[in-house]
Amino acid sequence: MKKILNLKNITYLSAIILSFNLFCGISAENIVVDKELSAKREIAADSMKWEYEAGIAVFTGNVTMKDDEGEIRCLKMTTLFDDNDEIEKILAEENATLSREKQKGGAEIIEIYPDKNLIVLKQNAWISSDKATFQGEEIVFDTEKEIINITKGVKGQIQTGNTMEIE
Amino acid sequence: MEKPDKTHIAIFCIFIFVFGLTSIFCQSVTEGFKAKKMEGKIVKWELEADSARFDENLKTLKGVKVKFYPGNREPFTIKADDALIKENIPIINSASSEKKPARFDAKQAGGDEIYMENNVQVIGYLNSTIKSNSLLWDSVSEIIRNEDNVEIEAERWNIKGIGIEFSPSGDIITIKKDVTMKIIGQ
Repeated sequence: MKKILNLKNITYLSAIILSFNLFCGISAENIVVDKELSAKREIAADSMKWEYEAGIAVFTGNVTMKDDEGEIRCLKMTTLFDDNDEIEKILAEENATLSREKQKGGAEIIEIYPDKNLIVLKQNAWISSDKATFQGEEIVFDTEKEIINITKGVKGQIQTGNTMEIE
Repeated sequence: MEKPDKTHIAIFCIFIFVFGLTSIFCQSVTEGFKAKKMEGKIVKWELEADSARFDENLKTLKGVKVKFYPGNREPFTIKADDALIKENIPIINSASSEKKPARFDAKQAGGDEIYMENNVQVIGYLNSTIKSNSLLWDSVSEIIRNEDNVEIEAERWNIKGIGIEFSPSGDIITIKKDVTMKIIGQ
């Protein structure tokens, strides 16, 4: 017993405990930072009304939603949550505009389906990139595959050597 | 019988005065205060405080915990460093209402109000924690509200803003100004 509890062993033991505590402390700090970093979507507005049971949050006035892929601005935004508090659908209304790295767009209504990587622009919808602008009543944009599908009332301009108009 | 002289009368008066003051102070501050609000046989809320001081229609509390029983959903608790309970608020005419402390709402005449301040936390309301520096509840509107900075924390999101309004028995939270909601993950 005396051999086990000699000064050298106690020093080793203290060092191990100290290292463990330091490790735990650093890990706890990292977890907090990770949680902060994983805030993937941020919505700012003048005011908000949140109906918990229905899973609906309505943001009004100067609404801006930012995520990793870009920004949506409008005057009214409705966010629909599922039972796990995950966003099912976002509905941007009144002067809704979309701004991404490669595309810009706008419509009376912009619907976002985060799970399906889909953005649907409805009523007086338009979407443009460096060389093309499309208008339509409904534009479906697959954000993962970068495919634009204009389903109603297509109008467009593609800039090549000579500008080509589509109608 | 010997007539009492002025010194005796003065000593007697001082004794009565000191005795009176002592009894007033002994009665007005209570350690470990508890209160309960019932509606018929149903408990609406239960209140616990580390200490309480009683004035006319007003209780000043320290270390406060109020548990609300909304009936249709899980109970939740509000904790605060300080609180004021005003009971049976008299109907005040507009001329004198200016004298009423701003933290109480003059419109709620006739009802009760609980005003909580300093490190206010609502724990367990709609699976979240609400943090602010003040909250006011009144028995007439049965709404909890403030105009202060407020933060709502939950597992998957965090909301910050100015001014909050919610009903203990309802499921609607309104943030009045400058809202930011951070959604974690997804």
